[in-house]
Amino acid sequence: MALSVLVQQLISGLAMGCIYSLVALGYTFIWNAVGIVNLAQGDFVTVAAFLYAATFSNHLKWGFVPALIAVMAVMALFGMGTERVVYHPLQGAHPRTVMLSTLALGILLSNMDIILWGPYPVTTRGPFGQDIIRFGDVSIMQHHVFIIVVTLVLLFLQHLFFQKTTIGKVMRAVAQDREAATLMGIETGQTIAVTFAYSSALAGIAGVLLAPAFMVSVDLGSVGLKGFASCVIGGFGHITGATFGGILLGIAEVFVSSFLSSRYRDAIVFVILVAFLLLRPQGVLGRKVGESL
Amino acid sequence: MKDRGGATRSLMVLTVLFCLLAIAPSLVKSSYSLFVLCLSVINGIAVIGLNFIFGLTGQLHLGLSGFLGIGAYALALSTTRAGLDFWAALVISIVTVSTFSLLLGIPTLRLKRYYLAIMTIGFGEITRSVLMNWSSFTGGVFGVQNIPRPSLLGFRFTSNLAYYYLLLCIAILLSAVATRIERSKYGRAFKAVRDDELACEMVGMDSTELKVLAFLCCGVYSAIAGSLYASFQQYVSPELYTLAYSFSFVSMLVVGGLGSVPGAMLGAIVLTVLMELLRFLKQWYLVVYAATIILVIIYEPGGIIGFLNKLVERIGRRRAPSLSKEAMQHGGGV
Amino acid sequence: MGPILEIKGVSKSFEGVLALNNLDVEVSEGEIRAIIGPNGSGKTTLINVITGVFPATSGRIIFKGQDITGLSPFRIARKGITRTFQNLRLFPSLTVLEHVLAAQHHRSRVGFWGSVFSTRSGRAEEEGMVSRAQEILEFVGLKGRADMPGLGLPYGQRRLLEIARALATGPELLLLDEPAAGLSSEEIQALERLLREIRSRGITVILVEHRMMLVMNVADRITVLNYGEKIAEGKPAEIKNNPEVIQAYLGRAYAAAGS
Repeated sequence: MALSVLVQQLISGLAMGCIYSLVALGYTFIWNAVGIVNLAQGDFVTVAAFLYAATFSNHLKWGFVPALIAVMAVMALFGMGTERVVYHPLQGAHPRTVMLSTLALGILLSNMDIILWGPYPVTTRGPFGQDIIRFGDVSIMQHHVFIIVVTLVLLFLQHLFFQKTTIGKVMRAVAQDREAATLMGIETGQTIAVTFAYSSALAGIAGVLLAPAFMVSVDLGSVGLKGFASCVIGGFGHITGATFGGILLGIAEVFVSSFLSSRYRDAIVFVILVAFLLLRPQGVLGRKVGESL
Repeated sequence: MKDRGGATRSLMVLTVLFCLLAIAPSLVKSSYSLFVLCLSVINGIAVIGLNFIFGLTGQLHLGLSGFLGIGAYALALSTTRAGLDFWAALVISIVTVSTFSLLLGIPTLRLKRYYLAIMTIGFGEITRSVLMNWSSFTGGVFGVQNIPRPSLLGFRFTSNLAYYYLLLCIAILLSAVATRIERSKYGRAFKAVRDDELACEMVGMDSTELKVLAFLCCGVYSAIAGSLYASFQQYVSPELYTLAYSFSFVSMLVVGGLGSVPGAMLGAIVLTVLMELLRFLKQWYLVVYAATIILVIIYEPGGIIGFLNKLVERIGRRRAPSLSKEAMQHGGGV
Repeated sequence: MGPILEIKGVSKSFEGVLALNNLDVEVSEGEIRAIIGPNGSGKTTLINVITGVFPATSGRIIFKGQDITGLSPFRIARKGITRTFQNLRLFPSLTVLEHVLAAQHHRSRVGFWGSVFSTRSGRAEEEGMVSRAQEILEFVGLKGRADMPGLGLPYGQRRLLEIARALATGPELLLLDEPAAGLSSEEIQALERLLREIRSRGITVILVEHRMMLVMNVADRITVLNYGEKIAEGKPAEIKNNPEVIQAYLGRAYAAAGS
């Protein structure tokens, strides 16, 4: 493979990897706070992508930045609503019950997408459209670079948020040990609502960044599985692991599907996932602690 | 020797249910109603299968569409391509789905977190995409046509009425086996795993092995249900086998009553009929459906059977001392 | 008699915090060994490490001369070590009898079909399990409760059910994690008798307990832990007067008042 192609592949894999990381982080925060996997996470991404592409960008003709902020705000509210409807009434129920209710929400959302935005895929122009940057014989999609930059900025802000702000520190404490946090007098209820809001906002960003690069349809929900695979690869419940796992998966996926048929792209991801569960269930960064509890 | 009231009650419900199903064709007139009846019974078999892993053992299996799809295609391909007889093809179908259930179950169920839920979602989606894309083998989007109906001792179940009674016989047989499994030491062990895996391990139970066994039971029942469906429609195509399809079976079990064989059958009938009645809602129908399930999970987690049990308990309270509140709350539910 | 359990240099740390520090304990066959110590001294961690709930960070655990370090919990249970839980872990959907039957599951030999279709051997086995279960329930004092849901029992009897469930696995070593917690004084007396009867059946008992009266009455030997280390070991009378133990337990206030 020529070096130029290699670099191109690497950049596009990195861009997809960033999206997976965002989705994976969404799973991780909710998992750490309440011990469930939010099975609607992928559908949150789709809702956000439709919101951005069909409503804010194509219909209202908003610019990228205001549209991004608007989608994040809507998604954050939506996350809080989700917490009220599918998590809050089921406190004390078994995690599988809560997960089932998140799945029901996912099914509901993917059908609402079709009702609200029609059955046909929607396309939209991002801030850069299909523009390409050339370095010698390497040509790179500008949007891909943009995805990478936005994700890096976001990860930096997230780091500041958790280190410097009170609510960030509280979220971290709840994520580490919910019971201990309760004993220390932290309002876990509020924190959990904020966690749902933040996870949904992350899905919102992922959706907005994805929309210009793909046709927006309910099939985008498959990033849910990719995000989950990223979590497993990095070590489930591990924040750095989720980020790292996403990027690893994005790159692996691009390279593997350039050798094999891209039609089986999702199947390849699934095989990678099974391989990890078999050989290294604690992930690349995770430690094997308390698996049996 | 154990909880005789519950056991007798569940047997009673099951008997009444099958008696009603047996006379149902003479009560309904249209061929469409007969079609819905056949579908209800096939779905009932699939839900009884799901009950092993989800209802009894408590593992969230969201990829039933994958099991049903592989089962249906195994039958479809081995009858139409290899020219096998229905019953031989059914065996192939069972073996195939069982193999897949082990391949998926062993790596996933070994782990104690909730990996199964998302792994099975992935499995279902991958199955559909492979059925769709591997056109040289599966026929791709065009599916497989001309799947034969079974014949037995020279009699061919060509009419839907004849096929319906065959389905009913198979369903009765499989319900009986499922009930026996539930009452056996294995059923007891499955429930113990559902209740507390660590406590199980501490008394020497291999919880992984038990979960895999329940998953395998689910695979066998799904293979049968998938095959019966393929032969009933005489046609299969990949677009049926979506996550929403898997979800509909989980819903049937939740609405009927988790962990209960009559509940599984009852839920399958109620929701299959309801789905047909709600067809006019078009796209809204899955929205209404999903919202209903959320409400059931929150307000009546024991499903129809749980509701009936509560009713009987309330009536019987004057005669028998009541259970402690805590025990009541734990008696079933999602 | 020789040791049934040898804990050799076992350490366990959580996220860098040392819960057990290079611990050596030998438990003789047939004794009741109490393990005491202030809160957070590592008693429950020790039980969890012995039963395989989490692996030891270092060190070895030898049961009847066989290394069982790192085995999964159910394999350790099958070797003859079982336990009860401090915060009861009963099966909410099983009856009292079913709890005791489930604990015999791993010892049953009849296969899937034999048990599902109640073949003659399947029925015989089930009957055998039921009568054994009835015998165990009677032994712990839960006769006549067989058909109640496990969670329908009053609190004290739930603790007995956990013991019955553990006994049903046919253990040689039984680990009890605070079996007297939440019991009334009559119930504790009954428990004391039960522990002696368990010992007289040849089962070795490791008892983690806070109630000193019970410990002093039934234990053959006592091991005292503090901050994950063994600070004393001996007969109850020796432990009672050990100044280091008094210090660890009661702190400076007591030492000051005593002097």
